[in-house]
Amino acid sequence: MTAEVAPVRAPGAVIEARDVTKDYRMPGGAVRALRGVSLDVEPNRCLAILGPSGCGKSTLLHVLGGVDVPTAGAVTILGRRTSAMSDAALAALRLRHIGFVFQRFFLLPMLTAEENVLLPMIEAGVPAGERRARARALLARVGLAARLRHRPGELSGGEMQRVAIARALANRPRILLADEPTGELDEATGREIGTLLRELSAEGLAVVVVTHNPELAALAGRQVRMKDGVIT
Amino acid sequence: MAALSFLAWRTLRRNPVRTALVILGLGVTGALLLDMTMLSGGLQASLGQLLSRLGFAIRVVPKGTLPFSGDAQIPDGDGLAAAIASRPGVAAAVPVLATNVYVRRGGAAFASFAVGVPRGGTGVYGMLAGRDLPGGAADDPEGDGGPIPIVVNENMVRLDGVRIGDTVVVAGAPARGVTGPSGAVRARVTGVADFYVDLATQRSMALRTGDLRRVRAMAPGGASLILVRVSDPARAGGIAAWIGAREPRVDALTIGRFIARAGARLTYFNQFAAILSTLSLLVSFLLVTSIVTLSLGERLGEIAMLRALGMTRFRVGALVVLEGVILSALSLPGAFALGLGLSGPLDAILRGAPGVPESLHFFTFGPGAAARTAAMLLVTGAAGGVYPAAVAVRLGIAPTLHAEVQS
Ligand SMILES: Nc1ncnc2c1ncn2[C@@H]1O[C@H](COP(=O)(O)OP(=O)(O)OP(=O)(O)O)[C@@H](O)[C@H]1O
Ligand SMILES: [Mg+2]
Repeated sequence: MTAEVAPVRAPGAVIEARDVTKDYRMPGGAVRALRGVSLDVEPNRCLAILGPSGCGKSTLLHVLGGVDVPTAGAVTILGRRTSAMSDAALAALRLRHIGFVFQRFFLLPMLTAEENVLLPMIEAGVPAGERRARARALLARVGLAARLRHRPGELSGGEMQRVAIARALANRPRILLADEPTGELDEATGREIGTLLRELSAEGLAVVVVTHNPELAALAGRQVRMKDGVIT
Repeated sequence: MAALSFLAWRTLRRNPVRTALVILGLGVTGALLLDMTMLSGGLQASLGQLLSRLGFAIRVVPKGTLPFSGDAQIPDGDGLAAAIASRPGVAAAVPVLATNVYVRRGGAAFASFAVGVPRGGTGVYGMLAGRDLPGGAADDPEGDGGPIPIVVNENMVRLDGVRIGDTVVVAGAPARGVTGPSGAVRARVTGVADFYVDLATQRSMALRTGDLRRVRAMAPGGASLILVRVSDPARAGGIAAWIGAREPRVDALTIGRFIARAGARLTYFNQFAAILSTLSLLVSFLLVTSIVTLSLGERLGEIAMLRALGMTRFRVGALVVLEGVILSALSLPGAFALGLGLSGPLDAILRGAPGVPESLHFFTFGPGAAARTAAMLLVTGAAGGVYPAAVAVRLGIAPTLHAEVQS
């Protein structure tokens, strides 16, 4: 197994990872979760990252999305190198350009579906009238037009994940990163989510999906396999 | 900020019973704080109200003393009062002689506080019934045998059965033959007055200064106190300074300085209040800190998510601090209701102690005490949010998300 697959350098890449290494310092010694990963994320494509548990998929996604910075190597998001950015600048970048979807949804349980979708727009200062219209349009888009006033506790897992996707899209990001978005859903529901993600990439979004689910991976236009912190 | 408050408020409502219990707890500690704020400085405020009501802006006392606090006298007080009265801006300067006398009536005798004033109508006491002392000076030093006029307080009426028109003997000693600076003069009660600073069972009387000197065999001229009424309150400071410069053996106390000097003797109430206030703030602080920390620990994943979707560290910290502030803000109505409800009975307990003038209160409520208490509680709420906010601010997004998925 070679350390790196030479990336096809796409001129329009929205994220570029070069020789990314990520170490976690632990009391029992450092864990090297990524060992020299290079990867381009392009608009208009859905990229699936596959691999056994513990191989570094989530870590890679976090580094690609600017919630973490590499120990060595470089990640460039929309032309800006993350390790050179302040925490506030990274937060602003995530707010406006990157949407995250998590396995555990992380919806705020005390807010309605609509309010959950409004939240990132409020943070971004979108005017009240516009954000309400956008939230409704997004929830309609994911098939939840009738569930605006429902709290997460009143929704099914698949519905919650669709609210989470609507929330991730609220500020019209250019990149959508999803970490095992179907991990807690049954097959049929997982397929719906996969189809939705593929549609979004077809509309121009750069989508990266981490998954164990081969069926979901098959829906993606491009697949990358990882093992022990490297892309194989 | 509105968005953060909304989010903080919804977070608190997630666990309504827990939140309500904390608000109740904060209400109790807040009530204690309000009472202690009312106590600290309450006596001074009450004294200030009383003094302002009496209408004398300056009190001239022997240097280093407080009015009616000892036997010290202003040498040539009458002369100084006359000099003060002739100053521009001074409406009146009343020399007052204060001492203790005995009232003999039938076979009984009791002690009374006595104030000597130059004439009636000085405003040193307030008439309740009957006639005031006559207007002119007491100009028959040896007496023509007729009784002297006196005005007594209600305690003497209530406790000793003294009535307007009664004749009593005012003396320097409780009985004939008892040694002491004593004359004994027959007196007729012409009226009943409020002496403003009487203790609960204290007997007081007013009589003309000349009469009082005769009773106590005192030399003329001295005064215990000169009360100065000014026509323009803004000039009180200047007039007081002039008096102090002219007669270095006196202090000319404006109401502010008087309260400061009296307050210095009341510091034990303030210390008591300060200690209990600190304890109550500490308990409030710990309540807020523990509940907000606990609630934060239950939703670290959500916080990491908020950060991942682009909320800054600063905003996440502010969100947590706001939870503390909202908790204390919600406790304010209860704290004020309970605190005000308790202050009445507490005031009654302290006022029941011996030696407390009836017109003074220990707990005084006003906009100042209210604002101070509310501000302290809100700041404590914010301070209580600081530790959990620091936890939220330092939270690493990736490690938290990793840990959440493991669990
Ligand atoms: N915050 C962290 N602190 C310490 N070690 C970590 C942390 N995050 C990940 N790791 C370690 O890094 C390695 C890669 O973890 P990662 O979560 O990226 O794996 P993964 O491929 O997403 O696994 P899974 O499929 O189980 O989610 C693992 O050994 C993991 O224990
Ligand atoms: Mg993972």
